[in-house]
Amino acid sequence: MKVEALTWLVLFLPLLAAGIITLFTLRNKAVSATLSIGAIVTGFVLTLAVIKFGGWDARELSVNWLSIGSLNVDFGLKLDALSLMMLLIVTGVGSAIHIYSYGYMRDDPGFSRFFACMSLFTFSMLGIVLANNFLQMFIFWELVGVSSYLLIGFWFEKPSAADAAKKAFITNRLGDLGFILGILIIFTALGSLNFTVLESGNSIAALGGMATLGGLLVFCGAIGKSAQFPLHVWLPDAMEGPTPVSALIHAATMVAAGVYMLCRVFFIFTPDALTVISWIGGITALLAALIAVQQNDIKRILAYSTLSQLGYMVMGVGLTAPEAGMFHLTTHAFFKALLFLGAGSVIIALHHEQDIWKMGGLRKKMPVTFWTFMVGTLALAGVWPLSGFFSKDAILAAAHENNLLLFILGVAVAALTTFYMFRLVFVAFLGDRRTGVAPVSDSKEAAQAGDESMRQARRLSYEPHESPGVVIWPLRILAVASVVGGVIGIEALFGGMFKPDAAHPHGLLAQLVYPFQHAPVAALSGLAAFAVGLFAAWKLYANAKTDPLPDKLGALSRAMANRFYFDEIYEATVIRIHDAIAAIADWIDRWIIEGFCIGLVRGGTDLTGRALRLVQTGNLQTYAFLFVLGVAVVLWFVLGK
Amino acid sequence: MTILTYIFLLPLLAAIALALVPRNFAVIMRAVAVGVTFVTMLLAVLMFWQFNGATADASGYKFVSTIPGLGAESLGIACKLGVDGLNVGLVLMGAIVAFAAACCSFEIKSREKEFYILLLVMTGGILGAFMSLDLFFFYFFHELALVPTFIMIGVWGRGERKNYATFQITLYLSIGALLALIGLIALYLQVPVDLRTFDIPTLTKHFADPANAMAASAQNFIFPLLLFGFGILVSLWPFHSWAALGYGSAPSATAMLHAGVLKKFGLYGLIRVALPMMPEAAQSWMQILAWLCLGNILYVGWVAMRQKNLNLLIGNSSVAHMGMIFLGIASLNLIGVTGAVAIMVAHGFLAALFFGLNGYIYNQTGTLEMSELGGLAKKLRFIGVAFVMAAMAGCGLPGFLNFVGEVSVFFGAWQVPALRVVTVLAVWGALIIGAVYMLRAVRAVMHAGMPEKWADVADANLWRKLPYALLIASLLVFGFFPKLLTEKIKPVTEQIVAMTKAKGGSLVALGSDARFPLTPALSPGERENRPQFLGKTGDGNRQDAAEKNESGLLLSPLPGGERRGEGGRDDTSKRFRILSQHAESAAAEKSPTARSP
Repeated sequence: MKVEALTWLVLFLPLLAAGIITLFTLRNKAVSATLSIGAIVTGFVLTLAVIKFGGWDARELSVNWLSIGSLNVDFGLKLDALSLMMLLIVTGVGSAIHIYSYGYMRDDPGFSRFFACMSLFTFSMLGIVLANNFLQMFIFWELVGVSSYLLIGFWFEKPSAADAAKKAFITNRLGDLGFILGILIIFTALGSLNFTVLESGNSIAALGGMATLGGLLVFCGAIGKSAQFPLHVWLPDAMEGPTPVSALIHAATMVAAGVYMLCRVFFIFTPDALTVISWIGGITALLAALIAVQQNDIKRILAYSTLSQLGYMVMGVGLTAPEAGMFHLTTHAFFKALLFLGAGSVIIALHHEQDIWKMGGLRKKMPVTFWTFMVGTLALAGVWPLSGFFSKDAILAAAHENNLLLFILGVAVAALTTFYMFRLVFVAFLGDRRTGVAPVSDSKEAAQAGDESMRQARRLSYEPHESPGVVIWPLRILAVASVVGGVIGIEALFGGMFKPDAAHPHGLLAQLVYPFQHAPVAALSGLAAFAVGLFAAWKLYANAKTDPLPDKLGALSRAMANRFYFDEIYEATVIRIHDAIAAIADWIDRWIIEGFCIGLVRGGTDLTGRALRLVQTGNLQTYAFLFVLGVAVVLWFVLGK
Repeated sequence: MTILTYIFLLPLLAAIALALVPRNFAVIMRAVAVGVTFVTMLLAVLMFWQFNGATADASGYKFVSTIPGLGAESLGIACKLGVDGLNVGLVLMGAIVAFAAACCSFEIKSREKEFYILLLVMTGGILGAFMSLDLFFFYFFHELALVPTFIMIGVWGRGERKNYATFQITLYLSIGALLALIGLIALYLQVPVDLRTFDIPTLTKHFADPANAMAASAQNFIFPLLLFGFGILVSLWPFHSWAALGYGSAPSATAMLHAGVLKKFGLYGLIRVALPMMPEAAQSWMQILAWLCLGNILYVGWVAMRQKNLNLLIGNSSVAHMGMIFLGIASLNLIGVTGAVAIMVAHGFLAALFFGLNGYIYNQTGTLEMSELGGLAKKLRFIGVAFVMAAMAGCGLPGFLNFVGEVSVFFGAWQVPALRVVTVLAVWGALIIGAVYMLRAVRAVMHAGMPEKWADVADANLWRKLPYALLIASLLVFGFFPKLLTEKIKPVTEQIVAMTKAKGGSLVALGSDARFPLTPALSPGERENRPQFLGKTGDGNRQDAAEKNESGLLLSPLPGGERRGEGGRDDTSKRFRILSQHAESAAAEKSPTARSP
């Protein structure tokens, strides 16, 4: 048996865990958690084994899943640098988050259900990563959608969580609609679904006029899953789920699926399609960064930051630099998971307080959380030599080379990133503690929770303290990864796959200075953006009691705080129109089809009945008259002819 | 006597036996009904398991048996039962759903004797209709199952509009059945007097011979009768309004059996009888059917979005799902029709699951108005999980058999250039509209806060969980391993598609030319010209190649009607001819002309 076969185990162990938990161990917390954590950690170890003994070379395993005529769908595993690296991210970061969840969710009555859903999610995500054909990817694409639905709606008693779950699922489905149509176009034109087959043939030429359309439809799938403009509205709402979910799904893995998919099928995109992709990414990056500046909920700031960074990655892919996109995806998975878990640590310490203006002074109370959070922030802001610097620089360099306008946009977003992240750090961690004097929370979702007043009372009397080891150890591990992630050869790995001809830096020192030699303008612009953002944040928010921006920016600030009214616009257009059509259809059904047609049959039968009743009156004279009339008619017929 | 005989006769014999039991032994009634359907189900599973290994008769049917004494030899009627890939899944599904329905009938608290007798008669009728290889019994068993439906809704139904619902469903289904009956009799009369028979395999073989092909005028008369007759039975838009209301008012078991299984009779009839016997009319009507199916998918989907009552919502969603099956049939190719059959099986499980769950909720709360429900998942944990899984299966989530069927239908329909617009809209309906109303139902019934008054609802105990677990398991098993089913369906649909496409005209090549579909009757001269016409679409894909190849077979001029009625033809030669056509078209389909020529 070859070592690759172990990948089947990596894929199916989480499903097995989810199945066993759902069927047998819902009442036993310890066993459920062990199964779920065991499955993903084993997956991580096995992935390492596969890489150690099998190397990074491309290879494929598959069995036939469905075969009807020309429609042949395999269930396969495609192993190459791209999928193996992604496998490491999903199982590695996933393991950290699973372990962290064990501490975070300890007191939740739905503990076992939570781990079942997490394992189901892991299975689906691994399926996307390993898929060797379009339909298999679509299958797991949908499964990721449903597991995210289950996890966002984990606290389904809360109406806001139930609504957020529904919204996430339906918005994702809009993207999937494009995705499946794209798959249909590609399959009908090329006759295969397998990535290797499609890549080796000249797909774009064979698709002809449909190539751009097909590529963009496939990209729709990524727009939905990676929450790109204009389908980005679901991701911030998804923060209704438990914080580990936000970290796993909405930071490290699921939203990265879109970018991963773009890299996987990079060969089908025409230059036109790539231009569209890069602009969608750029717009998302800018828009989300602007919105993040005026959010007050710690998880929402991170959510918009995620959106913005995903925009970067998509932009990178669109600028024909998929290796840069994947590089940023990898480092981002480290530091964004770290930031979310750090936020979660703060949130439990403050008994589910999420408003940064009610935090403050946490540095002294929670030192480990603070320092790891700082590492994550610096990495996200792109400080040399942390991982974020290198990956962001790779994208900026690609932009500098291909599209100056997008380069400027990228640098501006980098400055904004630093600004909103340090706003968060200054307000929540530094300065004086505000928790004790906070007024009654006015956040919408908090007010809806039933036991809010009790929580509030606890919050006021509670002294925040550092989280337990099961929570902070994952933070430490992820912090280390965030620091060194840029210089351990990830870039060369992806570079070797997508651009085997180009030169890639090897060795620690070479990697450390590579950006300054390769694209000094991009590297220096990135660092300058960091300086500008940090300075602005320090000026405005060091020791600030309230947010000064709303006064300075006025309407713009309100628009940013209200996410540029996208939800309202969609509510007023898309949803209303759909509802109106539904109302019309319902009306027709009720009154025309049911009322009129059935009424006609019914009335007609009724009328016939009434008419026939007149014939049978029981009146002898009438009968006699009709009898005579009949005889007369018969006689006329017989004799008259 | 084969296993089919037992599967079919057991419920009917049990019904007769129950008639002899005094009415105050309600427990016995229930035990007998559940026990007998359980044994029937086991037999059906066994039959499905043995299917691949069983030997087929000359026409490809397995487990063929004739029940002596039933039928009339002088008219060519015999009660002949048999299964092939097309109905083996339906029989299995029907038997499983029947058991689930019997389990879910605990809600019946009055006149149990009559109820269980009718339930068993309905089960026997349904299974008989799907197994019957005789046109007469095919129809007769359907009616046998239909009449109990009306009575059950009328007597044990629920809600204020019960009587109106009974009235409407009786009216519609009787008209539909009547139209289909006229069509079937007309079909029977198309065979020369000395050859007349109701035997479906013989009839199929007869009409498949180009020399015996039905005259275009006859096809154009009979096919619409069958299409709309069967269509009404399947709630084809715009003849759908009986369905949601009828199911909404029916007791759970009736809704499960009718929506799940009996409704598939019309679709089965279309695929088994109408398509292969009247290929030219079928091809010309498919374009119209494709647009009508959008009525189901989109329009009824919207209607479902507006429903405030859970049962009406599910009823409408069930109508919407029928649209997907119609689309698969309308695509008239192997992938689409196979997908359609897969959805038929999948939807049977799903509809039964949904109506069963609704019945449970109704029994606990006494209402299905969604505004009054909410947050039930907190109390009804198992039912909640089952409900969410049903909703997910309903919006076509992978892992459930529904996905396999729907995705095959999309792939099949997309291959027909003339159906592309329809396919895009259908995908919209399935992915978006389906998700919207399903998730609305979950949100309204299971999620958010629970009203105080439902504090004492109780989750299902082990015994009550059984039918739901069984149905979900069936959906999952076939969803994970679709080949268990598709490999059985494929050879049959392949043959039916080949027969339907064998005769010249072709929807694929017609493009969106609306003139042609309405005038399928072509003189031999026109037939000759067809290939050039075919080339005009210039889309240059696989179909074109296949079409040209197929129409090439037909260049031998077809004799007119004068040779029809000639008896004593050599059956094997006819069969060989069909098979060779079929092999050629299959080869054309597999040929690597996929890349643009």
